[in-house]
This record gives sequence, C-alpha cells and structure tokens, in this order.
Amino acid sequence: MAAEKSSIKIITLIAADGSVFEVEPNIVKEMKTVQSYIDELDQNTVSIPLPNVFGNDLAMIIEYCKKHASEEETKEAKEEFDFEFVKRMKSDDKLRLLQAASYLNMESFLQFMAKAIAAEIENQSVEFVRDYFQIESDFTPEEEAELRKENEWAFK
Amino acid sequence: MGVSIDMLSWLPDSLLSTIVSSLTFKEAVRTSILSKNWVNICKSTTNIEFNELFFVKYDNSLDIIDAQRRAFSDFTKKWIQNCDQSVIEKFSLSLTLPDIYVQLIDRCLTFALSKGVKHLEIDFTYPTWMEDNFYYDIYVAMVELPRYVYAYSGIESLKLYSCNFIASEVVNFHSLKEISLGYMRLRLFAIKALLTNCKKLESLSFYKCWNSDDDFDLKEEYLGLKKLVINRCHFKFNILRINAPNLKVFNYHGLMTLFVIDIRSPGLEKVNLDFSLEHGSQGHGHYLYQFLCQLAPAQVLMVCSYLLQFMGIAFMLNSCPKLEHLTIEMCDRKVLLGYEPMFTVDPDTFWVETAKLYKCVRINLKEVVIKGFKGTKNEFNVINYFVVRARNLKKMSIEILKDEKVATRRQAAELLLMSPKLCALNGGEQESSFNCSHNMVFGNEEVKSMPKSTNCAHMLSLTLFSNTIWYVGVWLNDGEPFIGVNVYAPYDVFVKKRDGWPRLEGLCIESIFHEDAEFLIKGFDVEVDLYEDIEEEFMWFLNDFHGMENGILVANEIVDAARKKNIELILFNVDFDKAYDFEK
Repeated sequence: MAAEKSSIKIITLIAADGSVFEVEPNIVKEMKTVQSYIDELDQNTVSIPLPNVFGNDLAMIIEYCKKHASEEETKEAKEEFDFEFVKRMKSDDKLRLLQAASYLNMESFLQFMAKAIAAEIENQSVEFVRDYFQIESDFTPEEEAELRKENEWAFK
Repeated sequence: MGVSIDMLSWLPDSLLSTIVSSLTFKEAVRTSILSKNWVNICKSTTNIEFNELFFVKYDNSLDIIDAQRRAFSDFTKKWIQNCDQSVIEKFSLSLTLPDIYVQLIDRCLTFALSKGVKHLEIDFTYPTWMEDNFYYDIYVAMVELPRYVYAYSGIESLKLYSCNFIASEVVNFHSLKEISLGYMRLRLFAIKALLTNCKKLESLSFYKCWNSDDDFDLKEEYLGLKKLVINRCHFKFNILRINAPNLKVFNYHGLMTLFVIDIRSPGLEKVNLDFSLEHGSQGHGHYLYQFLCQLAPAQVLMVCSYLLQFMGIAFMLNSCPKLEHLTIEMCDRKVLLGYEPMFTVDPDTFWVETAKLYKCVRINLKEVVIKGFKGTKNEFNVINYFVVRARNLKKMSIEILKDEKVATRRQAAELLLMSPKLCALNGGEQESSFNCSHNMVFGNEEVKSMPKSTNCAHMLSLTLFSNTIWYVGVWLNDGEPFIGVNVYAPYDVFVKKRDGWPRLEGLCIESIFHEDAEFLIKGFDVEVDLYEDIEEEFMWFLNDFHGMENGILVANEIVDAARKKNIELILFNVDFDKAYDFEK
C-alpha cells in the first residue's frame, strides 16, 4: 500500500474555472482535503476537482507550497518570500485565499492568511473594517455608543 | 462549476474568528462594534490578554486608580463568564498588586487552563520597574504560581514575570518549548530542574533576574536547548558554562562579570553581545578574548563597541570565518575607565593599511549594519574597508546617531560624503540593494570613481532613509536611461546634475520643509528656493512623467513605468524621517 502510494508521480488539480495544475505529491501534503482524496484512491495518476478554488488562487497556493516544501531554501528566503507574497495581494485576494485555505484544510497557510488580513485591519477605523468585510452596521447609534462606552478602554 | 462570485463577500464566522484571533486582544475587542454578529465573533478570539495597563493610568489619584482597577477586574470577570469559545491558544495576564488580586488571578488561570491554553503569560511587574536597569533586585515577587498550574501539561510557552515558581514541582510540562522568566530570584538548581524536566524545552530567556550565590554552570549536556537569552540579569557569577551542542542563538546583555566562559555549541548561528551597561574595565580583555573564541562558529554576530575597545573589529572578524551579517552598535560611552590598549594600533591608518583581508570579509560577509554612527574618522575607515573589501556585500546600512544635534549630524553626513572610496562598489556580484539608513554615502566628487554601468546597472534600488541627509547627489553613467528619485524631506535637499548624465525623469518631493531649509537644484534649468512653492516649481520637472499630481511620485510608479518601457532603472529612494517624527 505504501509502495503504491509513493508511486504516484503527478497529481492533477482542477480548479473551479477548469484550469488544470499538475503538481508533485509533496506539494499537496499540506492540503489535507486533497491528501484524503489521494489516500482513498490507489492510482498512479490522480486527478482531483476543486470546485471551490479559482485557478488564479490555486496557482498562488501552489507557488506558496512549492517554496515552503523546498528543503534547499533557507528560513530567511522563505520569510522574504512570504513578505513579498502578501505584499502583492489585494484585500480581496487575501479573503479569497483564506477561504481556499479553509476549504483545502491547510492549517499553516490558513493562519498565515489570517495574520495577513489581521495586519491589514489593525489600527484601522471602524468604517474601514466594515468596508473591508462589507458589513452593514445593524446597530442604532445609541447601541453603538453604549458598546463603545462598555469597552471604552479598547477605543482609547 | 457552481461557484458564484458572491461566495467571496461572505466569510463564515469560523473564518472571521480565525482572523480575530490573529489580532491583538485590544484590536479584537474593537471589532465588537462592527455589527451585532461581530459582538459574538470578537468573543470567540483565542488570543486573550487581560492587561491592567489598558485600564489604569498610574499618574491619576489613588481614588481614580482604584476605580480603574475595579473596571479592569469587572471586565475580566465578565469576559470569562461570557466566553463560549472552547479553546484558547494564548492567555496573558498582566496586573500590579497580585497579592490583593489573588482571587482574580485564580479565576483567570483556572479559566485559561480549562480551555487548553498553550501560551501562558503572567506578568506582575509594575510599569516603572522597566526603567531601572540596575537595582531591580529589590522588586521581590509577591506571589507564587498557583499549585494547580503544575498539574497541567499542555503549556507550550510560558512567561513568568515577578511570579515565583517552585522548580521541583515542574515535572508535568511535557510540551513546554519556550520559557521566559523575569524579575525573580533564580537559583541554578531551578534552571537545571527546568532543563531536565522539560524535555522539549528549546528556548530559555532571563530578563532582570538575579541570584547571588551560584555560578551559571550547566555542566550536564542539554541537547534540546536552542536559544539562550540572558538580558540584564544580576547573576553574580564568574562562570558561564553551557553545554548545549545544539544551541543556535545566544544573547547576552549585561555586565562583563564572566571569568570562565565555556560554551560548547558548534552550531551557533546568532550571537548578540551587549556590554553597554558596563561602566569600567578591570582587565576583562583576556576573558572577552576567550569568550569570542568560543563564539567562532557564529554566522550572525551583534556586538556593542565595548567589545571593540578591547579587541577591535579586526580580531573579531578573524575569529568568525563564517560571519555573514555584522551589526555594530555604538554605545554612548567612548572611553572606559582604566582602559589601556593591549597593543598599539594607529586608528588613523589601521583600516586603511594594516587591516588584513579576513576570510569572512572575503567570502561570507553579506550585510553590515552600523548603528549610532557619529562620524569619526575611524568609523569612516571601517565603512570604507567593508565597502571595498567585502566582495559579497549586498547590503550596508548606516544609521546616524539620532539624538545628536542637527549640526553634528550635518557634519557627519558631510564627512561621509567626502569618503573617497565609498562609491567604488567593486565586484561584479554586487547587486540589488545598497541600503543606507540615515545617510547616504554617495558624495559629490566621487562620481569619478563610480564604476561603469556594469556594476551599478544591477543595482535596482537604492533606498535611503534619513533625517540627516542634506545633499542628495544623483549621478549616473552614460547609457543609463532612467532615474527616479524619491525624496521625503524635512530638510534641505541638494540635487545636482552633471552634463553627460541622462535626464532625470522622475523626482518626487514629499516634504514639509524645515524652516531654514534650502532647496537647490543645480544643473537643471532652474535653480530655485523650493520651499516657497514646491508644487509649482516642480511641476515642470515632472511633466514628462505620466499621472503626476501635486508633485508626488510614488516609487513604485517609477518602477512600473520602467518595466513597461523595458528599460533599466536605477531608483534612488530617499526617505527622510517624516516631519511628525520630530514633533513627538
């Protein structure tokens, strides 16, 4: 069984928009959703549809996984990569990738994206954060004022 | 495929909760105001920090402080009552007067432990203690870690400040990886007990701890230990012996009281030594020498100039053949009492003539950071030495000492400009960024020695942060088609253009000018006093450049434009400290 599994050379991932990615097994190790697929199937080539992930996002996730799965890269190089990776993303991308990470069940990538999003909303105004998550306030002004008063220390 | 774009506008609460948990506790609480749903989401944070400092301002009258303390304790209790999150990752409790709040502490800790907390921080220090660097051993910890905590085995990292613990009880912390202890009397047997009983312990930090009787003598081998930090501790020991073959990071900040030093760690990667608390030298040279010998394998070494007075950087470079990053932080004190050099060195000529080409400089050194630059001649010589000799140097940062007077800084900057060899960035491998904080080292007259474009064409960005630059000189060799200069300047800036160099296409000035600032542009069509009306005067300059408004050009615009045009770019980005940095 173990031998069969290791014989899998290429895994094909099919994104929501139909784009196809061929990756090596060690790249998808972090994607528990994909991994459980592979564990169920005993075939040499595996093709896995991922209807909740867009092609662009999947490409980015694979890029991230490749970098982090590589043993040649130093810790510093990986950190630098992470920094650049987040830097070139828009807020929408981050939210989408967070969802993708959640769907693919990638624990560390999920935390990484959550941190990136947290960094973006940190020290921002309430209006900014509402806008960011597209939230409509359902408080009356009085309710909001009361909440503010209740947690006064946090708004200083 | 059944995916709608709308799915993106809606994140499930579980994911929002993950995001909130990545925020600091204060920020998390602030999200409660977003909407009714978020009132619950914010309560689900797994990162809780109850800190008295958020509530209490200690400069108030006692009555007010009392009321503020009550508000803190009420908030804490209420949060614990309402918390329906089943897991807590990190729990931090900071308060003063722990002997009075015993019940509250109990309540918090039982709560945290019942939620499977992994990272626990307990800090009972008083805010003013922070300022005291010498006599902190009067702050005796008032309370002990409650007994039931010892029975809990899930802690991965633990911070105890001013909270005693009984070392012999620590037998269940099987997953403990990091421990940080501060403001307590710490006996050697306690350290040993921790290292022996916590098999997974990797990181050990002490901050302002003290003891008077034991030597720091860890003879036994501790394979797990990877990081050791001794920060401002009053350990009155003479012996520092650590037998940790896998130690990677070692930081020591404090007095030089070590006489026997024995560190057996061939895999050391980062070492940080800071003796700036030291006020005299009583023949420490020999011991320091031994110390450094032991640190030879390090790849990153940070030292303060105390060390340099004894050995000189030269000695250190010789001892560390694998050194890649070198940070030199100048201490305030210049000459130590009773210091006599062990051998005579002529500071004027040493770095220019005598200094050897050490192995680490020749091969491994990649980054040099000099902090607190004062502009003495010797400092220039050292900088010169590195720039010219270090073949693989990719980054050099110089920060001028901030609190010196403006005039002194100006002088230092000017002196730096006169340095003859700084522009000779030789060695074909050099590229990417030459990063120079608080000053730039490209001087007016050195253009002649600026290497041909083969060397600097690879230099895509030059970033200069400074509140000390007065002269920004921009030079380029023939054939460089494009330059962007990005200046944030509270001070006067001098931009000079020479014939034969290509047109400066982009210049960004974003500045609030200093009162006596003088802004000169020479070699261009105009020479103006810019601070009168910067926008108008500069528009002509920026007309060629697309999309310019108000004379502000963002650096990335230049880069983008250059990419589109597919031309080689040299971008000088000068980031003076923003004006508000000075208003504090």
